[in-house]
Amino acid sequence: MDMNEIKEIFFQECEEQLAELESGLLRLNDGDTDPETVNAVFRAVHSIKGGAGAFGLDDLVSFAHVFETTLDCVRSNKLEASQDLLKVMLRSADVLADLTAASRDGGTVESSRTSGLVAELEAYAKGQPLPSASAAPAPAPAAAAPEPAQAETPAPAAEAPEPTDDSGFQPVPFSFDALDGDDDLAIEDGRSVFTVRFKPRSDLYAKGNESVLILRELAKLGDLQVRCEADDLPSIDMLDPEGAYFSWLIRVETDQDEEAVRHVFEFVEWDSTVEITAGADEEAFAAPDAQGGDQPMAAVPFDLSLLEDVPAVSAEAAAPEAPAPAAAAPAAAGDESMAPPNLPLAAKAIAAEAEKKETVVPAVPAAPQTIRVDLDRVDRLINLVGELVINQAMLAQSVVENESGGSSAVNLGLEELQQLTREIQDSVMAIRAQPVKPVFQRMGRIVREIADMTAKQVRLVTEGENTEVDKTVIDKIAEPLTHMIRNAVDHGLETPEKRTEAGKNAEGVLRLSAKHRSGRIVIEIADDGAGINRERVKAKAIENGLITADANLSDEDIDNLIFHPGFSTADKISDISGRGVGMDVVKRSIQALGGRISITSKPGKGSVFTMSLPLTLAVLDGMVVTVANQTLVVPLTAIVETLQPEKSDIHSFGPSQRLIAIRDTFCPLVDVGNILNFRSDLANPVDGVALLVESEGGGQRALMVDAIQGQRQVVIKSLEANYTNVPGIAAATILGDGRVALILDVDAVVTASRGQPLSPDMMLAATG
Amino acid sequence: MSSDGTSPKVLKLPEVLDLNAASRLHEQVLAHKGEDIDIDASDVNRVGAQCIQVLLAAAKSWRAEDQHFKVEPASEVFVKTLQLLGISDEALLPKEMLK
Repeated sequence: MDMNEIKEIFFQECEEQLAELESGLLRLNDGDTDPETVNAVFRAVHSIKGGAGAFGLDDLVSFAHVFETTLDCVRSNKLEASQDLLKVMLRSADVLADLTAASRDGGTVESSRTSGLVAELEAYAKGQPLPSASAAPAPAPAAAAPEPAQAETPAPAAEAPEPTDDSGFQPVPFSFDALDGDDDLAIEDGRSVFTVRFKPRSDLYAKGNESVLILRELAKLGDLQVRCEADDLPSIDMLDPEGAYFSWLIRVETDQDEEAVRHVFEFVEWDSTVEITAGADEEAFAAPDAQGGDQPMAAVPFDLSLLEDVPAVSAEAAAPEAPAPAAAAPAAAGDESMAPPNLPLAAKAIAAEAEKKETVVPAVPAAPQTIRVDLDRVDRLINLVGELVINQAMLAQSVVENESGGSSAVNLGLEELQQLTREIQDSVMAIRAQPVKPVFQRMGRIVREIADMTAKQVRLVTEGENTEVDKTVIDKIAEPLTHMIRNAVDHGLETPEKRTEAGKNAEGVLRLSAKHRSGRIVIEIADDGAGINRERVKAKAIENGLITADANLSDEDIDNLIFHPGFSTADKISDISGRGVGMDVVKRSIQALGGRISITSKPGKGSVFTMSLPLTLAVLDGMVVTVANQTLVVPLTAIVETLQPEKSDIHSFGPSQRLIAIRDTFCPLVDVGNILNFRSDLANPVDGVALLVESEGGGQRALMVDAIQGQRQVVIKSLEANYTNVPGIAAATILGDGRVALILDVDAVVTASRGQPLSPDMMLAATG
Repeated sequence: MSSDGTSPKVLKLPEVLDLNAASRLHEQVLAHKGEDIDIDASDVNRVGAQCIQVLLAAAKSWRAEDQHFKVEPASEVFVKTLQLLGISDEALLPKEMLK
């Protein structure tokens, strides 16, 4: 496992920690007072900081550190988790997520965002929230704690250790002196003495950490006097070789602060007891026999120069600058990286030992019933299954071609194969399917943020959070969704005053819902705001030259203007709408996913944005049709019904429009071959088949094709990735006979049939 | 003390005595229970706390049964690690080596 893989695992874990962090903060926000929630939140930030430290991600570490410090104050009851503080923390979690993303993908986070929050967090940690943070009074009922920390005298050496709280955590006293740069612990030449009691638990070793490395790191800070307490060591027969029996009393004389000493233990803090006190505990060192141990252990002064020829234990795993114990921390992979290649241990033995570890150490939490699989592997599997589907189709085809009638046994076998292939495919797809919950959760914070910035009152209601959809889709909807949510709060909802005037509740409601509908996922964002101001939209469009002043547009057309590139009704560029992302970008990113977006708006009642996305981007059920000697695939989800038009059903309308009468209604007839320029003249409807389709924009159209070949599941091969975007075509696929068939973009064809040209950037002016 | 007068058995430690080696070392040491033993730590270039625990526990147990248990020779890394860990037990190494 190389460094990049370990790093990748770290980022995956970061995602989990960030989700944990946010849900914890939200629970606290909802009034949860369970100390374990605070601990969970703290641990999340702490773990991110720990891993980031190992990889030298300094921005991430320094921000996480400040965040953690403030959380520590909450954890140790020095600071109350007030609503205002939680708001700051939720924003900090947001920044932490951004910093993580920036570390992973490159890029930066505006330093003003981090520095502002750092200042706010630090102010809270000092018990003096910035006035700008909120108008609320300083939430520090336990203010007695932080303030005296500014004490002029050094903490007495023999100070009693902090009590351990219920959860077993050892709250480490945090010296605010360190922040202030005070140096009153100095004994000589600006050097301080700390006494460290370090007792590892077996978990520490089980997780691949090593006390030797910790002590080595400590030795780098200055001069050490180390006393090993081995009284717990049993006889060799009773010894568990994987156990932790040693503990250490260490006197550190260093020119660094307590924070630096604490830093050495930060990766093992959960798996050991660490007490750091300022000053020397001469008594403990002076009286080794006082413990009654039969092995008097004299303190051995330790000198860093001794370490110089010691080979770096984790040299192959860690970057030279990274603290060695840290390298093992971010992943269980640490174990592996520590293992020498020539270790004469069978893999079996290691596994057996691992099992033993589980049983011997009950403190190790039971492993969750999940495994972490590299997404690439799943994708490869999906690709292979795709090939299998194609292959199975080819096999079926050749059976049909070679055997007249076909023996029933072969056909039966083929049918079973088809069913199995289908099941395999569904199962593989299910591996990638994930609930939209994490994305929805993130929206809660965004709503709060924007509401704060715009001084609006908003309640976010989410529905169908457990609706599952392919991971690629989830990853890609977060951004457009964020933008739409921002938009809905910023432009959709009115200010409390205006709402009250209009007789509405001052608090606006934003409803975010997800559901499955006919093989797609439909996500709706509905606000109960003022609805689209069509007058203003139209005026703006005329002003920007998007439409002519005399253009006659339907309400739907006007609403859809907001998806036009560069369109913005915001009179002034605000923080929210000034990010250079317009609804056109939202629309394009949704379309790139094979999705559609539409809007319906009622003046005074609000607007509803509806996104419809495919559940997967890998396969599709399609109707294989022939159009002008070309084979095309029409997505089955778009087709309402198919019919054979009678001559009497066809009616002409205007110069080139034709309508087909279906039961009681007329439906425009669209010649696919003509729209796609496969042929210049219109086909005779009576010779072909009409596919009644429903487009996302609403309304039905009858698509004329020459013949239907059959219904098939096809594997989607991106045209964009392999060739280039072709208007009217969504993607391509490989058929059973090995030929490439194009998959029709039904909506684009329907839009084109309205008289708009088939180009990626449809000019709205043409509608005028 | 060794009663039959034969020279002690020698257990040669591998180069690497990290976390993964502790169980095996424990087995190896236990296999010599009841025998006089010399531990050859001259090849050790990496040693972790758990392996030291095994050796120290063995040293105590051997001594309790009045049997010979000595770590000799020992590599510099081995000695330095013991010093770093603050282990000054003469059962493991002669005092002069630990000072």
